[in-house]
Amino acid sequence: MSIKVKNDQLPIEKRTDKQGSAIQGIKINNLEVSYGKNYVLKGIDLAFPTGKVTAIIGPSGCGKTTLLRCLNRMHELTDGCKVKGQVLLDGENIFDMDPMLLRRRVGMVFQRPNPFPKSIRENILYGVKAIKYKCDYDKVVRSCLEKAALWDELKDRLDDNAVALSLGQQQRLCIARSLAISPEIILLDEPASSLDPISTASLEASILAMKGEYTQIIVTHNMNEAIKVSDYVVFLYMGILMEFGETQKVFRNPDRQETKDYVNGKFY
Amino acid sequence: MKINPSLESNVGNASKYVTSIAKMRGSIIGKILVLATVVIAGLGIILGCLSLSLNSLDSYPIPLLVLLGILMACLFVYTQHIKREKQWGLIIFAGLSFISAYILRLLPTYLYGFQINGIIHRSFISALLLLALTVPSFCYGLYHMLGATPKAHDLSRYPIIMLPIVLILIAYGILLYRVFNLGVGNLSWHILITPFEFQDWSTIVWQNNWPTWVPQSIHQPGLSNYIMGTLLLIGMTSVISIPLGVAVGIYVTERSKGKLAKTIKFSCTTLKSISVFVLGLTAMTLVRDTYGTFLANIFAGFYYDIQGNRHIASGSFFTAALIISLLVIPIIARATEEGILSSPSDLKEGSLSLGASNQYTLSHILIPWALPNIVTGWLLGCAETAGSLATIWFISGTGQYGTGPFNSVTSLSYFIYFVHSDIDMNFKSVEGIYQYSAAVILIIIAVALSIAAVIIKGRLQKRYR
Repeated sequence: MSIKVKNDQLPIEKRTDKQGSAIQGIKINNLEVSYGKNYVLKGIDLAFPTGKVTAIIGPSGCGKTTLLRCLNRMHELTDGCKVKGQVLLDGENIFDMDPMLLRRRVGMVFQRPNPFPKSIRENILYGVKAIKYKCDYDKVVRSCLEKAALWDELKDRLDDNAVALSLGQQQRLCIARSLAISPEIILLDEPASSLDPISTASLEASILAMKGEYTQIIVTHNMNEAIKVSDYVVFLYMGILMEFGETQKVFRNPDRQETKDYVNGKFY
Repeated sequence: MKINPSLESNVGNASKYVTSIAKMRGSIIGKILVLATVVIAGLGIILGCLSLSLNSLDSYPIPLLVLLGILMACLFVYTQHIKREKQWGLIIFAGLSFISAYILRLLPTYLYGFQINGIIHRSFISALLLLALTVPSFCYGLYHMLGATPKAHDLSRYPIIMLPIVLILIAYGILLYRVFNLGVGNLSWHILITPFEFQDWSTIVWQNNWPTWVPQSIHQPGLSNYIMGTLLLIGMTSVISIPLGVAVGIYVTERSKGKLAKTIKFSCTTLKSISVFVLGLTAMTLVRDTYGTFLANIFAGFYYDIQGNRHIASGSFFTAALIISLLVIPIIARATEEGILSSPSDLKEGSLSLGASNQYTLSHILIPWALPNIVTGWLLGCAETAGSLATIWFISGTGQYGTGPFNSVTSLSYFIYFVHSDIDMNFKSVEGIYQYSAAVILIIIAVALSIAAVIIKGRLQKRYR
């Protein structure tokens, strides 16, 4: 069963804009998420700036990961999750789209690196082969690994098992893998939480290198990372959007008291 | 052999056990019934020991069984008053003391016919095995009751539990020794190659210008058609049951909440507990019902005898494979389900977040992960097939007219059975000496399959996990 590759499935440099306008990015309208009777996110209204890195910060259990997983419709994998509201991707509601097509445009990198038990080459080409997209496989592998700063380390061992790499390399491989299908938006769920400082530094360098070309949304517990990497910051507290603004402003001169307390480490 | 020091202090707790029951919460009737259960259970083993000396207790089995029934009913209704460890100890102790009593009662009759030949062919071995299985559970229950819970890695320190295990190993050792002793001597390359032939027919011969019927026969012992039969049966059953079993396993995992999936799971459990004899009757019905129609060529099988006449056989490999796969499909389905569910959820999420469809994830990530489990299921299915006799009991023949999917079904187990059970075949015919060789070959096939499965599993685990 072959799938005809549509315009929005092509790599980003080949897509033609709709009506000649710039790509609009993700916009959230009044999102409410609940697990059973437990309301996790209440009334979120947010627009993520295109081409920039937005960090979502907040104390544990405030709904950051839930918000991130909603943008990708990965919340549907957990039972009992109900969602109200809209999330617009380039003006289209993602809850009305085919989830497979959505996930090709919004990629995700998880907290713990999860490379497939295949070779490195097969890992990166997994998404491309899943949509049966005909392209130059070697070129795709090379460009993705270069963007994730792994090409020099791994160019000689592309056929080795990906599970044998170190954790830092595995996480960067996961980033490279999600870049292969040229998504518009990349979601990163605490990517550096299981890594050592050197790998974290390489990861942050990769994120900074991908600015401009991709919109990135990163959930993080580590405020230093948020300062280093992000342009905009979203502060979530108890499922409510408390503050959204540029990084420097939120960290130096926040509007709300709760943000000030959190940023100064009064609670976490 | 050191005894667990905590056990020594617990031996004195037996009397405390009775008082602890009295102090428990619950109705007074419940407590009386529980105490009565303990007393009756104790009586069982005493009666069993007594019967060894008193021959006039022949008629007591029936009241004993009635008591066993009442005992089980009481246990099921009232053991929720007791804590879980003591509950199991009580059930095991009570139930199996009766079984041990029954076995101990039967033991003396076998001691009279004590010969080394009698061990294998009589049920002494089976009684020994049953005893060996019940005594460790009995001791385990007893230990539970006294408060010392033996852990698995501690078992070697409890000699009374190790003793039955050693008994089992001795029994199997004697069995294997005898089979190999008698079987290996007669094994030769020749016997593996030649098929079994036993045909009588008559031809017309002119004698003194007068035609007479002269009987002729071929009698050639051989095992090749039985070996081919077993292998073909395993092959055909695998070909039918692996795709179906994996498909059923995938469906049950994907739509595990739906009604059809729950029905399938329930029927798999039921299929596993159907007696194989019933399945043999099903096979026979299938063959009988298609007699006289064209389908008889498929289900009953056909062959050409030495004169070129076409006959309908009593059952084909196709039928046998269909019926045996009813047993094997649940095994493979359960194995696939376990394999898929044991895969880490990270992998599935990672695959879906790249935009792959559910089907693609299944075929490229989840099934490769579950392949070692599927191979284990396949191995169990092969063991089931190779040893199956009851399922092909009614439909098998000697298979001397060819071994193909639509020929008469035959296998090594059938050969061993029909040679061993027929007194003429057993001692007077040439085949008699090959029954043990056939057993040896069957054991070798089973071991070879296990080794193959272990090697395949190792390779798959290295590659896909």
